[in-house]
Amino acid sequence: MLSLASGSVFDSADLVAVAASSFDQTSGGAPETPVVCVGDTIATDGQEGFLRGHGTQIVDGELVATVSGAVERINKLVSVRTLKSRYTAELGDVLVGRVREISGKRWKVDINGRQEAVLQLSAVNLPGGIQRRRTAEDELNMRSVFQEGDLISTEVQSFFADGSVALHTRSTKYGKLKGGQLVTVACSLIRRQKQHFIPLESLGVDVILGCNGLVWVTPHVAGAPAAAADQTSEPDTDVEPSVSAKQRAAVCRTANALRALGALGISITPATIEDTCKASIDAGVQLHAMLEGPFLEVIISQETQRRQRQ
Amino acid sequence: MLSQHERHYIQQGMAQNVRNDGRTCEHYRPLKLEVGVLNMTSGSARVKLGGTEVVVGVKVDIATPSPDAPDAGLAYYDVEISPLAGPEYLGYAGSELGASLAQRLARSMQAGSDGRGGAVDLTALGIIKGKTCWAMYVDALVIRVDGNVLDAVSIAAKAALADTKLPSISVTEAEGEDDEPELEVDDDPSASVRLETPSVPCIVTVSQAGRSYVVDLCEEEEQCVDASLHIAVTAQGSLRGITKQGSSGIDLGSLQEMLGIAQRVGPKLIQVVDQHIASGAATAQEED
Repeated sequence: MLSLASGSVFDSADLVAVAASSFDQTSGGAPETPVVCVGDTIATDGQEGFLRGHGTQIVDGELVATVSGAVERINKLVSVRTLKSRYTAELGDVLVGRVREISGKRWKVDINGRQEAVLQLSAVNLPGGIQRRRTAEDELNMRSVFQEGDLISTEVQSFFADGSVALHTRSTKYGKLKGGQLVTVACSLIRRQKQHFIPLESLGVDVILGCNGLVWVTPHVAGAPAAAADQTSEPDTDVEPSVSAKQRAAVCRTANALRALGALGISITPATIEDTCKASIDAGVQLHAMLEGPFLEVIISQETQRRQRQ
Repeated sequence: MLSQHERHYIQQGMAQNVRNDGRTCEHYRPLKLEVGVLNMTSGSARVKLGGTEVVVGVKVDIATPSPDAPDAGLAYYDVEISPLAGPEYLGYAGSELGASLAQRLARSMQAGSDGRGGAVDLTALGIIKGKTCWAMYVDALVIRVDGNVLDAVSIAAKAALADTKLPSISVTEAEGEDDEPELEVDDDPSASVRLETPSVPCIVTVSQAGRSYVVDLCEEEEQCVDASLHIAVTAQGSLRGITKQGSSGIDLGSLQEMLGIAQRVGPKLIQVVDQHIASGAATAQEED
């Protein structure tokens, strides 16, 4: 079976423009965040002694944006946050990251940020929950916990003086990820929320929304609150979880919904994921067709309706 | 870089005929094709296959034919990976991959020693027997790499060749014995002759992972397969050439199955490519 879309081929740039224009008409009641382009003046009227933040510059006494994005004001600090940028870590963020390197008592983890993050050997729960003995041997055994290339779910623990991030996995819900697939979206689409480990029972999947834009999708496991498939409190087994074709299709549908939302720049929440998946099931869209023009238009109209309701 | 668990998940998915992006094993990603994108060439095309993007330009030049095939023209194939295609291709890092792709492309197009029987009939490029001929340079530039680059290059090359127009050339016989015959190239584009390309193949790469056979891999999937066959197939489903990539061997049963897939998928792919070329040519004519 071979299907090559001819004619209306998925061209994200065109569709994002369509999406943006149809969303523009709905921005009625929502409180407006000012959006600026490079060189735009940022209003600082009535603000005595404001502080110049990231993405701004003072030209001839006026505050001017040096990047395009949303203006953020925190007390006196005025900064501009770009929509497409690398992830900026905040304390307590739940992340999905990939181990890049093992170097003396620490793993270097790629979290899609400006710098690689560090996961120290003292910041993980060892397999089986055993107490760590500070010996040279357990440094040598670090690969039995996380190898290069492994995907892990983790949390931001603290920052170093140079701004790089220290992570920890000291909880049963964090640890190595297996038996699912990774989707990467812009990190600005994922808001910080109460829960980042989200069981979507109606779809039969569990989702980990990493604040850094990496989303992990696995088949739903009953009971466990969408925890990492591999509980670090149990002995680490290298048995691969088996996934049935039906579960895989569910994971795939969710992953494609995430990709479609990501391509259109729609914020990713449990509700938008569920709505998109349900719309695709209702419309009888095949899995691979979820990233093609006609279905993306369905998502756009759905999002337009949602914004009109608000 | 993938973890062993992701690799296992992808391989298991291929065995279950559900891939990570929802395609089945014999499914191509959405194809986007434009012809006539470069003004300075005789023929050109741009192809987007999923995330992979390739531009091909064909230039013709007057040259001397080789002594083995005095009445045939010459064809050269080259592939270059842009340093912007990805961090691993910075600087000259892509030149090795480019050279190997060019070789595979040239092999699938190769003509016999007398210039006949190739993807393009090289005798159509002859001008004066033994003296002058057209040399055809097919240059591909890979702009973005997201797996299955060779298939995208071959599709773009086919489209660019179909778009290629040879300038009409008139030969005036020499007056004296020792004088060279005079050549006059007509620079009027409407007087040019379109290259005949019905037998130009597309390359269908079929990869083996365990007992499953998969086409059009994305970059992640390419890290999960044992071996790949690059199979050049024509519109009629006949094979023009096969090259193999990857460390593991392929047994006879697998080989037959993989060839079968290429012969099934290839003609359908070419049909879609031909449709794109036809619609591209139609819009170009409207603009004229």
